[in-house]
Amino acid sequence: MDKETIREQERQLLERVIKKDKNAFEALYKLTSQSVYFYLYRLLQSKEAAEDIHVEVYTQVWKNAGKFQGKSRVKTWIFGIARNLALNEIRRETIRKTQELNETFRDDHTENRVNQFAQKQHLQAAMDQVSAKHREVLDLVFYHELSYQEVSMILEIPENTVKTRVYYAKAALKEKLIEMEV
Amino acid sequence: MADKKITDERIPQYLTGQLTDKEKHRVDQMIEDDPEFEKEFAEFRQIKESLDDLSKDMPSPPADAFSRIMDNIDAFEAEEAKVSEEQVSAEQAEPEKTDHSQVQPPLDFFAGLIERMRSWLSVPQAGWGVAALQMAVILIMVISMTTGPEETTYQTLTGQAVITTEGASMNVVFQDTATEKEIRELLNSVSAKIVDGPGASGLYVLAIDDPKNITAVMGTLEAANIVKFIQKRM
Repeated sequence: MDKETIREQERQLLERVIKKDKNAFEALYKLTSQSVYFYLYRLLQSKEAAEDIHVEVYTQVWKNAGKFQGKSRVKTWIFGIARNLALNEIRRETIRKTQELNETFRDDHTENRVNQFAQKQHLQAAMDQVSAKHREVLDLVFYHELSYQEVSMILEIPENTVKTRVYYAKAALKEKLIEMEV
Repeated sequence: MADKKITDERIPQYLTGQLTDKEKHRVDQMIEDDPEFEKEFAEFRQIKESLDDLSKDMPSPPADAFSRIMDNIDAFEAEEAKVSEEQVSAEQAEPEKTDHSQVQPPLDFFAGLIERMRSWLSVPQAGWGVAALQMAVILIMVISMTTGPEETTYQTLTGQAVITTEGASMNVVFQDTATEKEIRELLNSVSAKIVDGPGASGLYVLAIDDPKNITAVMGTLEAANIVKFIQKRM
């Protein structure tokens, strides 16, 4: 299925969800949940938090389907909801938990992985270590394959800022790789 | 230089299949012609491949995630239904309160009237008429108080007054988008009158003269797309 067909399918499903069609809601969930979960997991860096927020995201999709204005793609709209809820979660938990997680990840996990795996794995480990802001933009552009315009809608920043952020993210990644290989 | 910047920006789009054939060709040419651009392209490609690989190891949403979502939704809908039921009950209770001020002029009104008359007629030449006018006011008071509101007569919004004790009535909520004209036409088509409302949540009380028609009238109203809620009043 090409991207345009998927977008159209998402739109049609959401129209039915607005009319409280639970089958359409389930179909929309199946179509989008994996990438929404991936996005949350990468953003929150915690499986448990990603699971909880993931449930909350789709509950909000059901409740607020009628508010979708059709200005963006449905998936972009869902990502926007996911991002807001994830940021709230990060604000709530912040400092203590995220710091704890980052430390654990760096000390026990990443270093070992870096030493054991080849170039591609090095890159993945480095990606885990760049700032959430840079990781997020790389994920949205390269993994979720969203356009600059769509990313700008989710992050609520101008399109040109998205483009420069992609370049800064790549530069930060390179820097991490150099640090890790020293 | 500007052209190079544009082409640089297109690398992510190239790698994610968002470029037209012509644009792709331009990027391909740049890769061939410019070693620095080629290096840049290779780095972006590595990021893309790395992320694609990473996703293979990513955990999936838990199997019970969807049922958890549906539980949340069911709880939310049950709560919503409860709130709307409570609102309707509250609205129903409101019209039951008899507002005597609609049918009985308040005593303050008469006291004020007498006072004003006294001041008008305080000139000595007019003193003779005071007693007669006071008598007239007292007479009006007695008449109005003895014809108390035994039957509830409402000032209607759509036409002449309706005495609800003789007809039948129902609670109705119209769609937010319904226009006054649409409501009026619908009510005229079933000879129903608005006798109260709207309440805080848009509830109207409608009345019809012949209680035998209540089922047919309610059926017509229910079928109208401007009616959101309808319920017979007991």
